[in-house]
Amino acid sequence: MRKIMTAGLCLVTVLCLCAGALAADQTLLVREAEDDELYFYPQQLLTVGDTLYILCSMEDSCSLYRWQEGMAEAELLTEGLFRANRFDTMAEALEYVENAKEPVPGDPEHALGNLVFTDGERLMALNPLNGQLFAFSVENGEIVYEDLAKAEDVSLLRHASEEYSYWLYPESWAVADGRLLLPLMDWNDATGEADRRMIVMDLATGVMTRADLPYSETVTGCRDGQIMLLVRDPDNPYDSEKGEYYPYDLVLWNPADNTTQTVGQLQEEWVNRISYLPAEDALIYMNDTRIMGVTGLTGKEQYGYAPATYGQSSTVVGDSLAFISNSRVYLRTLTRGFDTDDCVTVYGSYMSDGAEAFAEKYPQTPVYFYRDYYGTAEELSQAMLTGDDAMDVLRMSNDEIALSTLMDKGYCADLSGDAELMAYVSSLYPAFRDAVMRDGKLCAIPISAYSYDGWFVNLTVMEDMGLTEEDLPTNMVELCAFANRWNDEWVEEYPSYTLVSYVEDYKEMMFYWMFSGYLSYCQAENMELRFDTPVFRELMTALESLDVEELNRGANLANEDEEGYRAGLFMEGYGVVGSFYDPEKENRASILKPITLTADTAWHPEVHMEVLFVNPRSAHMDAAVKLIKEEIAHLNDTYAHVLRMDATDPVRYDYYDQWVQSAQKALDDARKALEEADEADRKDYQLQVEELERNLEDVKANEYMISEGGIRYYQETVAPAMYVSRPSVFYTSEDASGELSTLLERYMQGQIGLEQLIREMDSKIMMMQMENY
Amino acid sequence: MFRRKKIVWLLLLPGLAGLMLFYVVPFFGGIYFSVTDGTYENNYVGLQNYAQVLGNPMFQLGLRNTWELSLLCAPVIWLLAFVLSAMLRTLKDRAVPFRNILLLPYLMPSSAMLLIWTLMFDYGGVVNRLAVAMGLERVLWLEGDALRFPIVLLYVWKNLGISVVLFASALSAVHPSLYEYAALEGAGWWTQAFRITLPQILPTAFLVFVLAWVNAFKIFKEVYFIGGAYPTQQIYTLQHFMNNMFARLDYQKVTTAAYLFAIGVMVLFALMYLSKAVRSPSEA
Repeated sequence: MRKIMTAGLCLVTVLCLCAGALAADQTLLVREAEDDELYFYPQQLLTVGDTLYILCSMEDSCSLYRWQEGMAEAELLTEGLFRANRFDTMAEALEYVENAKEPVPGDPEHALGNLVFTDGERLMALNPLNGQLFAFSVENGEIVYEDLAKAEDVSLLRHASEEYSYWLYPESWAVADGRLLLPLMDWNDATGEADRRMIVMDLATGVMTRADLPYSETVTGCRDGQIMLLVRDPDNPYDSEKGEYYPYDLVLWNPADNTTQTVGQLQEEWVNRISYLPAEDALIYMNDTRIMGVTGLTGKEQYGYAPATYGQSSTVVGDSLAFISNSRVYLRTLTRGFDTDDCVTVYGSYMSDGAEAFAEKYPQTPVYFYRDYYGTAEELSQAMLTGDDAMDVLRMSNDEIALSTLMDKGYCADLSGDAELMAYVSSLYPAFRDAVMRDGKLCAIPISAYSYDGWFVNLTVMEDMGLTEEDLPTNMVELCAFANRWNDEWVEEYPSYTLVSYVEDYKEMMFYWMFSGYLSYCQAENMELRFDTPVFRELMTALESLDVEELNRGANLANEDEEGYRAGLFMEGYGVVGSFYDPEKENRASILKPITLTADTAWHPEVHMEVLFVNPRSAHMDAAVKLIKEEIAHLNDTYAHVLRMDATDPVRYDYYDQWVQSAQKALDDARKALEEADEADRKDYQLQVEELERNLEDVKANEYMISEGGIRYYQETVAPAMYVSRPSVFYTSEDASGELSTLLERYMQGQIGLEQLIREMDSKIMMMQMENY
Repeated sequence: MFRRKKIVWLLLLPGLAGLMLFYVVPFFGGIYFSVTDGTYENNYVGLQNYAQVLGNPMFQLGLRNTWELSLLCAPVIWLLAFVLSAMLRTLKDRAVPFRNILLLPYLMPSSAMLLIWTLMFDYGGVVNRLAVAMGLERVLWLEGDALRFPIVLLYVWKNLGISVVLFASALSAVHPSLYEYAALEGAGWWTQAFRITLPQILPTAFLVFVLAWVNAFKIFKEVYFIGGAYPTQQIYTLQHFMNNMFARLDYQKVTTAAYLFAIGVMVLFALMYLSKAVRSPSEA
């Protein structure tokens, strides 16, 4: 019986400990900027005793939240703190308060600016507008201010020049021995160089001085009333000989006797924020999603995992780290030597919506990000096999690396056994689906796609020139003839316009468009790449007939009396996949014009696709697949519509209603002003009303980010024509691309003729293809 | 005796270790690549890569061209070197400057040589100007079939000197009385060269031939400088195939082609060595 009771007690104790540990991993505040409050974000974290204070910025004021152990989330203490950041002087702030239509919360005399800090016992702030240093607290819902000192001169906190001035935002702060240390970075307008300052403020007198300390972007209170500085030459942080960043020096500054001591080094690329954990005498910081610590200020080890990659502000509360990331405040228990086998490592990605959702859904499974980069399929495949902490999920674009090589060689785990992933891939447009399937195996999951192969016609230019859509060229051959006509007839007549925006050498660009278009055409039509074909000859014949000396001369040079490029009739290289061009939309400024190679060839926009795939050697296959599913579930609307055939619902702009309301309100105000206006002013007000009426119409016309017409055009015209690009024989190796490029250059420079170009290109390409036989 | 042997092995150890580490181990280690498929699982595929490479038209083309170039170059070098060294022998001490001059191209960097060669054989170069002056048509020496001629000439020009030096050292060992006796018997220069000199220096002659042949196999660098990784089909060599496969990181094809080539060379030289004609008198 005693044994059973003992075992029961042990179990209860373990469960309590686990619950305690779990309870410490919390999200204390979730207020996304996209929520109803447009201007709201947590700005700063401050620890006073065992209480965490969260200072949040709002439109007109600051709000203060409080959290203590045992609370599920932070509670709002007050919203009535005056926000000083937007004002330059006290007079401006007071004038704003006086003229505000609704009461402005807070007291401008005790405005909170960039400098809110704590000595660990009370909250303090410096009003930058009047130099008032004060403590503040909230008692019975009321804000209580206590003036401490007044800084006579706050000029060190400002950037001031003849043209403009503004308050500098301290990178971080630390308080020790009655002194506040602030690293500030400014720019010298005359030299353009950084002016980095370490400012010390005496909290008893308010006297501010520039300290003779090495610059440290982040500082924190540390052991024995000292302040820790992370020192590295900010202008030269990278050791190009070793190919790595120089380590930071860990420098302790003792404010009592103004001495410094270097206690060690920290090898990291960049450390954003540091905090101090007294229990372990450890310096705590975040490295992507890893919470790291320098125990005893000497040994680096992991202390935890953060479901976010960037802590804008952080502080230690008890045995936990609180940090702000993406408008959320997280709390994570610090455990020396934190390690877990249950994790998932992602290559080629940062914290995405999907990864965030995964982190929230599976909090015990850290998501780590693999930061090394590999430029070739071979290097990457070696890293996939031999990396100590090998990547589980890889994210990459099909034109970034020879993705098809990795698929062909089995470096992508077969995911076809997962019904959910197969269902997703089945819902994709065939071009994407086919690109990731190999012999019935599902090798990768497309998560985004885009194409910038679109040619758009500027309707203003077209109408000004008296042209109609039917007059415009529809293919490259016709474009050459059109360019010749422009060269002969329109250069002088329309000096403000040119044929294609931003083009300065038409022959070179035309050759580039034709050549790249021809490569795409061969791929899209699954043709073997050869240049001795009627299509290529027709293109080259058109190119050789190009006579655009006048057009080149005035192509895109600035107009005589104004800077800038001339407006082009055509705009090339614009989004055609992902833009959801809607031909049915009224009042368009431009229209999409599919330009083919010749009259007899089809249009094929080249699509670049980004995929996720799993390393077959992954020891965390289950977590990897779950992460991919979260990424799919959190695809943004554009990519979901680009990739999925079943995404057919139009998408409204998030702020459409607000835009309309705002435009309507402006119109109503103007109409009211018109009614009340004197006869002399009525004409101006009438013009303003008409302008605002047009504006309202424009706003109303833009209700949808992805409209029904856009989806229809994409499904009927773009999707059947597009193809996912594959590595061309051109890029088989540097030797291959170099030789073919040299041949093209020789042709363009007139060193070889068309026949020789075609003969040699075909010969070389045939050799390249036969080597793969 | 045993202790002495141990010391010998000890002295040999650094050299042997280097040989093992940098030649023997990689040589046999490479076999692993040639019998696997290079996929993620790296499956064993037996001789499939060998069958594929042997059936690859570019491997066949490279092999054929390499074979043809070496068959063309090696005998030319050998014959010219032999004749020149025999002629230089007659000059006795006055031959030294000529030997040194002949050796100079061997010491020149390939890139510098190639620059001279492209200037000479360019469409508007010295060779074509001479041809025009003689009433002949210009030739595109650096393209197509014609490229073989400057390549062979370049190879001969570069490698002739070292072969002459080797022949000359062997000739110095032939006893002069043999030539005096032959002269008394009425033998002319050609008879002396092929009836006395050649039989006396046969092992060296074989060595020179082997070196000339091996160097001819390595003619890739010059061709690559002129024609690139994908020159005209007439001068695409086996090394082009291997180099291009390496550039594509296709280690399976690179190693397979290298082993096929090594096997071919080894068989060829084994056959030559087994021939009594080229063995030294003591071996025969």
